[in-house]
Amino acid sequence: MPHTLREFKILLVDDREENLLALEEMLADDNRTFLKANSGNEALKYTLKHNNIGLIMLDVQMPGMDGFEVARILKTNPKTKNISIIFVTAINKEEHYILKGFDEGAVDYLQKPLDVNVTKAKVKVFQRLYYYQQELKSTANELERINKQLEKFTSIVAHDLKSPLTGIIGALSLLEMDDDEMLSADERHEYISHTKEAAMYLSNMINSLLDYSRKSMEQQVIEEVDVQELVEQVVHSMFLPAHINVRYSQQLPTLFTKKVKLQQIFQNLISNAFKYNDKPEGYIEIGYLEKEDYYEFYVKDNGMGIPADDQEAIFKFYRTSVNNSFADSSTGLGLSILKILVEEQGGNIWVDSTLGEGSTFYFQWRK
Amino acid sequence: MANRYHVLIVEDDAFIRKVLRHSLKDDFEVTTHINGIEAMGWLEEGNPVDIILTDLQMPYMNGEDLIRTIRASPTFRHLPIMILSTFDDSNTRIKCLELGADDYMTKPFNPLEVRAKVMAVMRRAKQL
Repeated sequence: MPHTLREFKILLVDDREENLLALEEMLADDNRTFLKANSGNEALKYTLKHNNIGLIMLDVQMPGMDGFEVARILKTNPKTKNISIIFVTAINKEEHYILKGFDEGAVDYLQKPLDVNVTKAKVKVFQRLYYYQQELKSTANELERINKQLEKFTSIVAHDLKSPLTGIIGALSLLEMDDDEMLSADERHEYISHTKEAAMYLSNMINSLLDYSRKSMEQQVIEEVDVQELVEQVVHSMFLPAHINVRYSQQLPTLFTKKVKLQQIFQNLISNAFKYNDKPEGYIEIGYLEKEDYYEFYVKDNGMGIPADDQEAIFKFYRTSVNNSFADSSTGLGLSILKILVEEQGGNIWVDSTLGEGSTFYFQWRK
Repeated sequence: MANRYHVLIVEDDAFIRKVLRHSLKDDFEVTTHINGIEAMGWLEEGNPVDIILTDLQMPYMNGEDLIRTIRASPTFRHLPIMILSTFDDSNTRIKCLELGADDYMTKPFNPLEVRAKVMAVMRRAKQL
């Protein structure tokens, strides 16, 4: 958010109404809003009710609870201890001593009677400090979010790496144990070829991951994306043959997201829809359903379809499909990366398919 | 061998299913299913089973839901359940054991160890 839009809320505390009004007038500026409290108690109430106070101008000499007492209470509460405070005081000898006790944290003082220019300048410094703090906070939150995403990504990848290894280790153990040659030649051959296939997948997956991490940095940029335009570009760049008709069930939405990732997903799904289309009049239909937090996009085709047994497996790095038309392509690898792209932002990807009639791939994308 | 125990394997990966079947077939009767729903359907048909060996991450009905369903069923609640999963963090182990699993093994596995564990769990179950 640009600086000019940001609010800076100042809490003015003084037992005399005329002082509050004078201070407010002196400090009035764009972006600044004021809360006015006539006593220490009232000031504390405000700090608990408003969680975005940027600065407190705190009169020291007040009947009842004085300014130092208010400050001490604020500093003991985790919710309020980081609010900047400027004491407004006559500074006699005793007060000078007490002020030293507040050395830590954003605390300053102004001497009565207030000098207009000094007061304005000091408040301006605190305002800038407040904005820096807010920026730091939002950066920290963003980093934490990315970190969580990365943790999730790592656990998905670790799981996907282990699955083929489980097969490899299991098969090798069985081969190793087979001293009495109980395994038939066919079985032995099958275990060896599965093992090799699984190892190939692992190798491919590692390549994809390296590729993914290289691209991942540039993919972190969030921008406004017109999905309709993006998909049309993807379709255009594929030079689909004339018998494949691409249609849209409606105008696709515009949203703020990581463009390259969304593009990769459409690219993969549309190219699969075309690659596995065996009909003389092929079509690819693209549309979406709007849900509360996300869009549910779909890419539908009237191609060869996917056998029920394979519908889950195609999203794995390592598949043991009986259908060779899937097993020998690199589609599985593509889809498993798509699965990661979709899952790391909290969505799901799945397929509905009838063998011989076509497939519809769905994926959820956060708004 | 008469009266062999019957192991129900629930695992969505075909190759791992095959390896497990092969690891156990000399000592047990083996049936495999690809998710919890199919496994439950098969159980409800009245097929004889002595122990369930299940993966956690599967489509339609995962391993955790399978444990819940089994433990809530008056007919099947006594069946020993062993988990075989790639998740090796203790939170997942604890959760599964608390839900009612009897043992937990991680993938990748040594087929001999799986066989030994199934035997051990069956030994305990039959003593009760």
